[in-house]
Amino acid sequence: MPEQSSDFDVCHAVISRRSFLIVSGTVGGGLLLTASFPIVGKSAAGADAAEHQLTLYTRVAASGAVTILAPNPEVGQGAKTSLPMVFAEEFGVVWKDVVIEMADYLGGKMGSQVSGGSMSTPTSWMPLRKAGAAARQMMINAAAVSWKVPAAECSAADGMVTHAASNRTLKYGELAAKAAMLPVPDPNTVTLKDESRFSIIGTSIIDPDKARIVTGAQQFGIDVKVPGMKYAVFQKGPVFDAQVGRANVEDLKSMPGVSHVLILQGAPRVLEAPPDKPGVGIDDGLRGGVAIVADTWWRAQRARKRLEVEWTETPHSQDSTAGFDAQADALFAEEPTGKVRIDGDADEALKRAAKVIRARYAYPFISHSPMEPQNCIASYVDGKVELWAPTQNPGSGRNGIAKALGLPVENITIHMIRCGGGFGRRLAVDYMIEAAVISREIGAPVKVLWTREDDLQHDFYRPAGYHNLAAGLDASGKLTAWHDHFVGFARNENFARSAVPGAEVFPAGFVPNYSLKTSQIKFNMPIGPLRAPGDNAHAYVLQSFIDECAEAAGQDPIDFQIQLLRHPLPGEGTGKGGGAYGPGFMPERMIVVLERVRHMSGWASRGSLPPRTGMGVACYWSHMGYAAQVHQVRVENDGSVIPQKIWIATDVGKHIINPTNAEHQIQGALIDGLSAALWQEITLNKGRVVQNNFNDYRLLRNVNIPSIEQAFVKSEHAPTGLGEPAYPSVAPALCNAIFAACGRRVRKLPVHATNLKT
Amino acid sequence: MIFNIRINGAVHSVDTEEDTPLLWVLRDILGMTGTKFGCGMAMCGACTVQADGSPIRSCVLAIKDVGNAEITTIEGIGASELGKKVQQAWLALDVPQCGYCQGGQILAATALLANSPAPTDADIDAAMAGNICRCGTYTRIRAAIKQVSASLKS
Amino acid sequence: MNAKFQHGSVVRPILWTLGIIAIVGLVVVGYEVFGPKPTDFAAGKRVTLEAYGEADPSGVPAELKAAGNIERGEYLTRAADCAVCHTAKDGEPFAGGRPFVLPFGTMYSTNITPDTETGIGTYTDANFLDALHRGIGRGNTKLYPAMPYASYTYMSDADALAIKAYLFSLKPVRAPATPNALSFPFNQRWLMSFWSAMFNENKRFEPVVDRGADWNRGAYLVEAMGHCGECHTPRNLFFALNNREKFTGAVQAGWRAYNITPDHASGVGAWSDADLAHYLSVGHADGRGTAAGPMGEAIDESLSHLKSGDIAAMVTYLRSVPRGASSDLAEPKMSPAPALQAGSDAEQGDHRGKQVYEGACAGCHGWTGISPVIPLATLTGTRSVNDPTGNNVAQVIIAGAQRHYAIDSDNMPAFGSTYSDAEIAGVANYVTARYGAKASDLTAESVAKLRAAD
Repeated sequence: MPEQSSDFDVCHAVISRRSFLIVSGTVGGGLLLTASFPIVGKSAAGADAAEHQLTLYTRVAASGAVTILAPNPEVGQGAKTSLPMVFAEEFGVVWKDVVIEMADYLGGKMGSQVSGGSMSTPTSWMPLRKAGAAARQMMINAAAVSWKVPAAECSAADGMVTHAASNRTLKYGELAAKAAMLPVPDPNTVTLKDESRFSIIGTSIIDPDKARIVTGAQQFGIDVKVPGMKYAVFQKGPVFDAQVGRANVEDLKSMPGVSHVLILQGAPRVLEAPPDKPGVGIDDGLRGGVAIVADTWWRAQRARKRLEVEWTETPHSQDSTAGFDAQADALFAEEPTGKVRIDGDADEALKRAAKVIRARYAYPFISHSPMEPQNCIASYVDGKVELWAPTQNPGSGRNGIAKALGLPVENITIHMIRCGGGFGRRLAVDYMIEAAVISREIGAPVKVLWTREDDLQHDFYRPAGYHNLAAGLDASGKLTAWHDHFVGFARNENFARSAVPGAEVFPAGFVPNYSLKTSQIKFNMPIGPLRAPGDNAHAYVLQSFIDECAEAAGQDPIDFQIQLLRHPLPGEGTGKGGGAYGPGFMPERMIVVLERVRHMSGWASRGSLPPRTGMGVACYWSHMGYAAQVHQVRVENDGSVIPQKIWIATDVGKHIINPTNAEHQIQGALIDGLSAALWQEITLNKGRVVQNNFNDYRLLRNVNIPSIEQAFVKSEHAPTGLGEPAYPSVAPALCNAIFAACGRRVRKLPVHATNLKT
Repeated sequence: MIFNIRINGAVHSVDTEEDTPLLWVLRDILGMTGTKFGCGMAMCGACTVQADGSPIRSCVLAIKDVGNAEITTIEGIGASELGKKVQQAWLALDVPQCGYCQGGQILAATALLANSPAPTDADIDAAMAGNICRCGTYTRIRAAIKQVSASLKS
Repeated sequence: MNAKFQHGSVVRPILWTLGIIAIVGLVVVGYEVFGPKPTDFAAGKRVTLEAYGEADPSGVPAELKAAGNIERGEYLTRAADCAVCHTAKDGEPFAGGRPFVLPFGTMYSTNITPDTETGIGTYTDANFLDALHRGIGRGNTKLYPAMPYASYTYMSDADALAIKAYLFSLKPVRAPATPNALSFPFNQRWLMSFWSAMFNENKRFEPVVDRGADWNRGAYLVEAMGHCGECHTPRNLFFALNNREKFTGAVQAGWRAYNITPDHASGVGAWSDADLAHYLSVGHADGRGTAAGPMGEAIDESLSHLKSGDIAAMVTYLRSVPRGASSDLAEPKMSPAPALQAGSDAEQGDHRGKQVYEGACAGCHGWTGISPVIPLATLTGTRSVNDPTGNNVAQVIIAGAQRHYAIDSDNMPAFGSTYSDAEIAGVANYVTARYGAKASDLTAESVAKLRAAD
């Protein structure tokens, strides 16, 4: 699996799961994936019960209603619908009979149940198809027994089994009770449906939650209420990991509705990914602070306005963005201290180059800011904890709470509730731990809800970074040398997760003399995965600098990249380094989407655009998806940037499970990327985050949206995910278009910081 | 202090501090969680309700200032023909993504269409720009508003 | 022979010219130097504080007469508003370091905590009085009139020393002074002797007998302590206060300190006493305005701490100053804008400004100028919105405004960091056009200058 796409420990979890297959007793079989899904057939309380369970994923009622469990949590990416669609396709039911139910976290029996890394689709595709096919086979077997005919003579589709020879049919509802009693077939022996006959996969099905969303009936995490529940706010230090020295706890206890004011001690942040495990988890344990508990959230928040806390000093109380910038400058003047990849001799090649291009690039910390601020409901009773959590990562939540409270993981139950956005924020489980700890302290269920300020100032940020680049071209304009001195953030000897560009990131493997070396700045900010971790920052730098190289070579930027892509170094560009879900980077697929977007955008006639209007291109491979996009922007004389149009072509494999949902994911990623590129930065002053709310952390509104045209390029590969691939190339495409429009390079994000006035 | 406020056609009697925002009266005291919390300072629109048909941000409207206004929330917007049409258009065009902001969007859109059945793009900008959608569903929101507008003509 | 006559005929016109220039110069200087002092507008017999029989207009109000020296000193320090200038952003109170960006460079306030090395810990009482009354620091250092000693000079000795006692009760903070960066000749401190000689009356406050205790108390608070004129009175050629245009307003650090004379259209003549008192106490008066920027600081650190009797006295005094008009300030438009109209309305006004307004502003401020949600957010009738320069509207958008008198203080957030100069100019123009008497005409350049000035 490519280094930069693994942003949590799914791979490790999957590999370590054991199989619970009943029938054959074999463990694992050919695909490790299936070993993660113990497939259990059981019937609820006898043949008269209303619903009958077939595999972990479905219950069928005598009426024919089919409940399908959605294994992975829903954050707006559509997994709650698309994964059941895959199961339903193979199971052979009619979609109108299906009711989707969000699964609880089943401790690994349903896999990791993580929604992240655009992995829901690739990791679930085969297992769900096989599980669906197994359930279908159980129905067939039950009918065959009933009819006393060989199962091989029967077929199943549209919620019924047919024996063609005798022209008999039985509906799933009629068969369910008997089918549930049968052994579950070995998933490796089931017959999968012919993909050309898909009738559910590939159709635009609307998430059934949406009918409730438009009437306000759909619950999000923040909406859950349980009997006896209290409400809490949790004030953490403005400087990360400061502890409470003193707080005016007694003053607050007399405020209306306040029942508890607690000082909680937190654990210092220590974890940072070792180089060989770049995806190791987020350091999201309990942090120190003051919890105020009341009978309504507003009363807790109201009391908080009277809270006065003296925080302990930390070694990072004076950290600042200005300080980091100065450190980066100083480090660029020195030799790098680490290296990621060296091919040939870049220094020599630069000396011999016909033309050398140099540039420094930088990008800031940014925050996830999902619309729903962090929250969790927890109920601690007698050493057991039950949680209702808007989470992307229930397994880690369970582990984190178990560790924080010293409980066995089996004592922790997590109900996954729909999230008002994830973007990777909800892979961290800090707010779940807070709720569990506070519930234990007060001996009652509690809802912990963060304010927007809490959310912005206690995020797990996308790490900032600095690049000092030099590239060399030969006389024909070919890229012969590439040198990148990267300066990034580290808490100990390891860089923050996703901070460092990987060894396989294009144009590595395509430039004969390539050098990527590193230096570190010490810091203590919380870091976590944010939509396309690593890629979201490196794409901006690499694709912008490649554009500078194309310009220096006097070549069309699309042609320049295609030329590069056509000539991988020996042994490179073959899809090597892939994993269980797909091959590594295949440059020919990138060439296809580049050509497609060249055509879509009318790129050839960009020269005839009005003054101060220009087109720029960027492409990036992220989370196994290939995306190429062209932006057209206008830069006003006063420096305002007006995005006008975006064309994007994406290749995520053979099938788009839910086309409307897929289109929406692309649109969303583009708008998200524009917000980040245009305005967003999280800066530090005296150790504290400067930004507070949407006044100084800006998001695109409806008035700023360019028109968007998109295309999916289908290729002969298993389907991969869509939450992330379009996101990384947004910033560089925008900046390259700005250059085309007004001749100024944006070498530092956000764009807002660069003077583009005439 | 006791306040009597009119929500979705019914009168509710609420005992709370006078500076309690209407948003939290709805959510925590009355249990109507359709109206959402996003920023607490009228910058995101997730808390949008209607007061006498005008969209307002309930996170900054203190209960003491509600008075006799007829408050409509997402739970009640479907009681009107127009509200129902807006909800249906939202589903027909698969507008929501995570869905968290959409209650506020629907309230603002319905108020717009009630006042201007044939809104221009500039009208839509003015009425809807205060409602942030983090997932980026703006294009479909605009299309749904125009779809309802077209249906009102016929 | 010819040369002699020629010589004489060249010199004489030159001498005449020089003579005329000198006379004109003297007249100008004399005009400025002998301009009215802050209370000269009030006719009537003046006596010394000691000779004044009735309630002493200096010192603390009745509620604090029995308080200890430090507590009284604290009140007077508040009234004199030392903290705002002598505290840097994020700095220790009174430890100095706040920059003042002036046309001729930047100067920094000094450390007035009792630290013996970097503060005023070695100051004797005489040193302190010299500083406040004569602008002379310990060691005969001439202070720049950014330290408003020409106003503090009216403060009684007893009050000045009470302030000293309070300052000396604070914890000493080690904070070396930041060197000033001023251009020639403004970096020549010794020149301040001339300035002082010309413009510092160096006289303690003299009550005007016929005006009564209340007026005199108000005059003392406004002139000797609050030094309101230092912001609200325009300056003459020598950067001294031009009391011929007393309280008609000026621009300080990029913010416009408005006309506070009783002029109806451009001053506060239309405000009720209650409006004025409320504004001074909490920084807001409905339909009149909200204090932000430097006035916001003055409210927070000084005026909001004064007793209501003192506030009332200041109102009495303010009512009595001569009417002076600011010709560029329109009479505020008191009627709200009509509710947002479909079609044409949505097309009106600065286009970029509208785009910003409808997204970031309308949620609190509404579309008519009367806020549907927060009374403090009503724009109709307010001075800043009815200022065709748009100066303070732009500054408030950049820096925000925070009031602190309710548990849930309603804050205008700061937008300067993520909105461009062009956007801020646009939305300021949009707001003044839609809600005010006359639209402003700010450009991105002018907003850039405003940012730099603050």
